[in-house]
Amino acid sequence: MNKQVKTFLRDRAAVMAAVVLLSLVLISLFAPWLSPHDPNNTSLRNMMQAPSQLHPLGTDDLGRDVLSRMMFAGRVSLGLAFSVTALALILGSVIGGLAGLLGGRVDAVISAVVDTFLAVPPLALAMVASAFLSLNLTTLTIVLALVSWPGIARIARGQVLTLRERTYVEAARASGASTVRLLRRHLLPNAVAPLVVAGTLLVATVILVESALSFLGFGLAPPTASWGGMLNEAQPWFQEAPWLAVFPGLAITLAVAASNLVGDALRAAIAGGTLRRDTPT
Amino acid sequence: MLTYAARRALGAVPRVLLVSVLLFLLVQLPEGGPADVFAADPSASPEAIAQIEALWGLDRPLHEQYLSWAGNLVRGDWGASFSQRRPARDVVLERLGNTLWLTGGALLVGIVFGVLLGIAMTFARQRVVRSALQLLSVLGMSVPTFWSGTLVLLVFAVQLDWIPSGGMRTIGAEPNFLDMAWHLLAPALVLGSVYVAQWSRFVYAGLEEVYREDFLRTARAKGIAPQWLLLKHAFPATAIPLVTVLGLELPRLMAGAMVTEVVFAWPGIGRLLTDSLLGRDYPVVMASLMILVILVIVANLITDLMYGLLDPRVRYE
Repeated sequence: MNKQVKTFLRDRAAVMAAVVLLSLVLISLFAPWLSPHDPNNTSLRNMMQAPSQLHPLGTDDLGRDVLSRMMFAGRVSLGLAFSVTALALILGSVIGGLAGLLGGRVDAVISAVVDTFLAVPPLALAMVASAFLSLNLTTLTIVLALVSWPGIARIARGQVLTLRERTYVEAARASGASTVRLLRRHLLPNAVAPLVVAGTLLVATVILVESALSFLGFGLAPPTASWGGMLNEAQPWFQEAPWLAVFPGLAITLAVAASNLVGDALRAAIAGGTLRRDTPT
Repeated sequence: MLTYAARRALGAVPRVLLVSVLLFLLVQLPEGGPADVFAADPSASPEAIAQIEALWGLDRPLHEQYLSWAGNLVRGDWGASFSQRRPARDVVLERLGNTLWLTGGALLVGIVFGVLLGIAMTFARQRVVRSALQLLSVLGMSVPTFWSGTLVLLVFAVQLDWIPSGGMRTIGAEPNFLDMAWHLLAPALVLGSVYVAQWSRFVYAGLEEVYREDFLRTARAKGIAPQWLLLKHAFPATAIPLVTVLGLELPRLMAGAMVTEVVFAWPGIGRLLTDSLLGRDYPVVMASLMILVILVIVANLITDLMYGLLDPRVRYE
């Protein structure tokens, strides 16, 4: 494990990305204390003001402070991303793990369902679901988790398929361990590494899918907004107030890039540094 | 090969069926189903609503509804668009070509520049250059297209007036290919940039691995020139996993196209789906979803078959 931590720490871009991601999380977490203004405080006198000392990122069409709104939007975007990922990891690893372990007909059915989900663009599926449901944070989390678990399930299944041939699993089975115990004690713990990588990369994907969903107008109802939702609200004003277009998108890009970089570095670290090699000639 | 192709094509049928059941349930089950669109109209009498429900068979059990819907779908009757009062099939099919232009253009951009960038990454001698290129590719992968598209429009269409501000052709002009290609340029580049980033990474990872293999060492030992080594030996070997990635990424490409279509007012299926979802035009929603999914499944089939053409080790038995 130590060697892997070292490999990770040697990747400077990844360490920086981890710091960025952590800062974004902390800023969002402490938004009520850090934000300079009330995010929902409208003021007709301060409509669409360019960035200034009082409003570092400007104000929107209702005179609300963009920086404060972005801090609170971060709670929605990142909070959703992490809870959706957690839920998808649980769903995906249990379902995929069972498919790999039980094999036969169960595997065939689960794999068919997973393939079916993977054939539909997650964004389209989420759009349809959110168009017909009354959306709040809980339902949106469930919708996004339901479109995200199949990828995880596929990885978990593959892992279990390779692991279950190992001698120690065979030994556990021979000594009468139940299916649940096999999965919980022997298979899933050893499949954790690739699942952690997939989960980190899933955070990036979920942020992107959620922001696209909100941008298209299928997100949460105002005044709650994610970064994508802020872009959606500001759409009519982009020409007059470009800062409304720039900053929320920047936050999305930053969060997604940071998660991607961390995920990549984790993968490289788990692969044991075998990826580093001299330039071919 | 032919029997293999036929078998794979048959294997795709249950997947299409499963997807259709999933989508049907997703659209029909929740509150605010098709009949509610009309029930929401205060001038609609209960009798009129009942009449509409009977007409569309909404009063029948769900599985009967599904069977008749699926049966009609197969026969080519996809229902009538609520908003446009004409067959949903026509509405969707006239948009299909536009979406294919956009995704095709983006794929072309992605493959060409992605391969070039990946090769550049592999051969960059300074570590700094290589790290910078890698960082760039991660960034490119992480930028949401609806944002980069918006910025491109703000800068190049609004400020500089270099490119058209959206749509598919100049208003009032005769439809011609050049005009369309000119309008396609910006959206295809924006959508394609994501794939430039992604494929450069795969090309890089693939080349890194291939250059360690014995057959390349043999070729190099025989004194083959580096550029031939790349072109004749290394790159073809990485092209095979690339095809897999291409197949796996297709659903996401479709999703990306949907968003890009909305930003650039490109009249494709994605924009149609967005509009008809917001306008509750159920037959068009179902039809465009089914077309999207069938596109993905057919494209997956094609990538499967391409293995055989690219990889002599794959045998179809």
